Amino acid sequence: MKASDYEKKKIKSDLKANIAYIKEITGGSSDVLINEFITGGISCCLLCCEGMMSSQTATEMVLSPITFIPNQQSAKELFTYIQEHMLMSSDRPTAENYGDLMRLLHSGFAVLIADKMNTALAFGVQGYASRGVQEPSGEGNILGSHEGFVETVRTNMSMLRRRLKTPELVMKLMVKGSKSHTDICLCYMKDRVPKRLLDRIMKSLDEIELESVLSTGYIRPFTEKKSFELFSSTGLTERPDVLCSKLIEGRAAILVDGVPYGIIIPRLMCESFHTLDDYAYKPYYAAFLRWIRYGAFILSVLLPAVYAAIVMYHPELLNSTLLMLLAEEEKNAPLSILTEAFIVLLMYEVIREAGVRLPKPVGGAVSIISGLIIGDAAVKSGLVSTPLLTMTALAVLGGLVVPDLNPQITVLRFAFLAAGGILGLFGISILACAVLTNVCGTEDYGFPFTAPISPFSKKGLSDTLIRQGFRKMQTRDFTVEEYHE
Amino acid sequence: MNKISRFQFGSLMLINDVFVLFCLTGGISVMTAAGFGIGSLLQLLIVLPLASIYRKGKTLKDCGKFAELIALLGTAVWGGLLFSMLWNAGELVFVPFEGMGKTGRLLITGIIAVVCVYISSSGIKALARSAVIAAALGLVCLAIVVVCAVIRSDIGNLEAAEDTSGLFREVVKGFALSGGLSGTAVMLGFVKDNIRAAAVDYFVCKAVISSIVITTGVLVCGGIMEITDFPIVSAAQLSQPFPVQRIDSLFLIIFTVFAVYSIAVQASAAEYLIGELLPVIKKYRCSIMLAIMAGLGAVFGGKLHYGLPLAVVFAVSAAIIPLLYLIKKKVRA
Repeated sequence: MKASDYEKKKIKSDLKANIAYIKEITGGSSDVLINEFITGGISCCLLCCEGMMSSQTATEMVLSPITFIPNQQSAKELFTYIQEHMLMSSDRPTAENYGDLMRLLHSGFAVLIADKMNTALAFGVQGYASRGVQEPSGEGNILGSHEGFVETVRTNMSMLRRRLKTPELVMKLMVKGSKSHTDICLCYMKDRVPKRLLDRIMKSLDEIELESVLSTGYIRPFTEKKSFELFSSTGLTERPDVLCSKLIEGRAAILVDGVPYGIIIPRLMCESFHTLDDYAYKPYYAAFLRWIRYGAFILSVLLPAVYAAIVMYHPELLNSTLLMLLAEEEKNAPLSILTEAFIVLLMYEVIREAGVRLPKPVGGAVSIISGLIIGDAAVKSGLVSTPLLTMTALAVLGGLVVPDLNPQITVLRFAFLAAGGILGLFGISILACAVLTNVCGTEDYGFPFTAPISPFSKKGLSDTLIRQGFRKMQTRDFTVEEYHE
Repeated sequence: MNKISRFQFGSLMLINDVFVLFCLTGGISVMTAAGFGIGSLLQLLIVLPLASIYRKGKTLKDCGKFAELIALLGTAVWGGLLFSMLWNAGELVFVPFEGMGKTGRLLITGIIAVVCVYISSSGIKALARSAVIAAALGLVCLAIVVVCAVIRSDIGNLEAAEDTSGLFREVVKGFALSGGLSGTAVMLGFVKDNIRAAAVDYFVCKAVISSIVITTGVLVCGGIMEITDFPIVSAAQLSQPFPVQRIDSLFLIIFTVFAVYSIAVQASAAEYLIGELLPVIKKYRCSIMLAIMAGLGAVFGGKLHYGLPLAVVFAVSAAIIPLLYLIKKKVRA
């Protein structure tokens, strides 16, 4: 049976017919439990979805008290009695059509239907198995919290609420995906978020007509511009503390059920170089670390390309000792520098992909084989020169310093290498112009991705090039609206 | 209309002017520096009336179709000259195609044109924002080159490169080489606030930078000016900060970046104007204008004309716009 056939259909008042119809809708699915019983002298049925609810909670909060209801005149009176005299759960929605009934049932609610009653009562007894709160895997932190988002959107919401105990924090739940019915939560600080931004995000979310929403990647394209952008103007974080700091700056966030990440809208490029630890260290050290990250990013994208360009076309840029050293190494290599560099970088990407996809114990073995055995063998056999391997390794390491931008770094590294290897520094300069324009043109909801560098904002620089102390920052009263163009 | 800040406007225009300095051919002297400085201030006087019109909330459209057409022609001719300058200097600067002769230069020009199409089609905001970063990085690199040049300079070169043509001719030369006036007139219309200040800041910066760069060039190359084709490029090549390595390539990077943005700015201005004049053309405006500019560049054939006629053409193309606005206003009244 198609969803459109029953979605808006009113719940039948005959219990037997009702149960038969629900069975028809679910196709006799084994996880839908149908418990018929009589309480208060009325024939009832409690519907549950196995694995989605806590059996203990359901027994203690619903099944046990519901059997002690005194006799009632009608099903309507029974429902009134339950609603007025029994606080079985704090979340007690009602359903009037089969669409709502099925959504509640599949979300872990215990749903009560009764004979001669065309509405259903639901009790929030969700309790499905989920991963516990753990340390985020991708956003390492030394001095801050070690809590990361989990797959359950309500747990994630509670993590935000625990950090921002203010009525200004608004979390609006909505459902997306015609088949998956995924819970999506739009979070914002109502006194900080620009109204235009909120309206436009809501409009973007309204455009989603997907059948399923299984990751943040399903939502993000709808919140970004249609034109080609190298960098994404929305960010991801798996840290509730980071998300809270963004909300306080007037940004909005989207949490997706089943995904331990929150989408931040809008995200600026400079934020990819910030970590929560920056705010725990002394400002001078935080600023030093930031510059290390900026340098690592540039190094990671340009180093193999610049090396190839200099050695192939602009050797005058090297001092004579270095030039002799490189010439000595490169003359033994059987392949051209460009080919060598491509092979080494491709090898790294293959090894990385293998390491990510394989089970962890095997992944470690892959790293040892690839790093030590293949790398060492390649150099010793003379297939790859040592300086080139050093350069590419440095570039790859640099990319790991800014994990947020890793996809872009990887692609740009190859593109720049091709440009530098074929056209020298001229090629690198030309490509840099195109990339720079693309990055500067990235703008969603009126927030330029390259702010506060270009367009320039003096106020924004106090947390970009350096990190001001909190005594000064507390008087800054900064919101992202200041970057709006 | 997309608006840009005065700093973005200044960066866009300064890139264009510095690129012209790189491509400067023939002898230069202290008089040339003075000529460029005075020429820039004269240009400011021409542009100020237009800035006043823009300040009143008027646009180029209010000056009439003829004004837009004049601006378009001026921009296209200047774009053509930029291509011509690139063609000339390309032989000197780019390394990978050194042995390929005309084919190599054609390839370089073609690649730059393609990148310009992409940059211009990204919109004025993206162009302006990226130009600020490019200009900042470029000016840092230029400062390094200038400092190195000053260290290696010889004060005696000032006398060695004595000028015989006179100040008037140098002012005309400086004026003619700032044919970006039409583009300036168009771009000034995009500035969101402090339009007059934007114009003043830009022209003063231009006068100062031009004078510094040319004087540095004279200080380094004054003694060999007669055998130097591109004095500024030669000055950069002769000013190496380290004894055992050269930094010419640093100059190559600035040259390429500035070439791309100079042409892209003209293409963007022309794209806007052709959109206003011929709204029927909805697609490929930028490509069409770049093709026209490249064609004009080929017509100029790498021969630049620093003389009075060119200076007059560019001055008139910018000065006529406010004049046409006044005439239109009077006719309406």
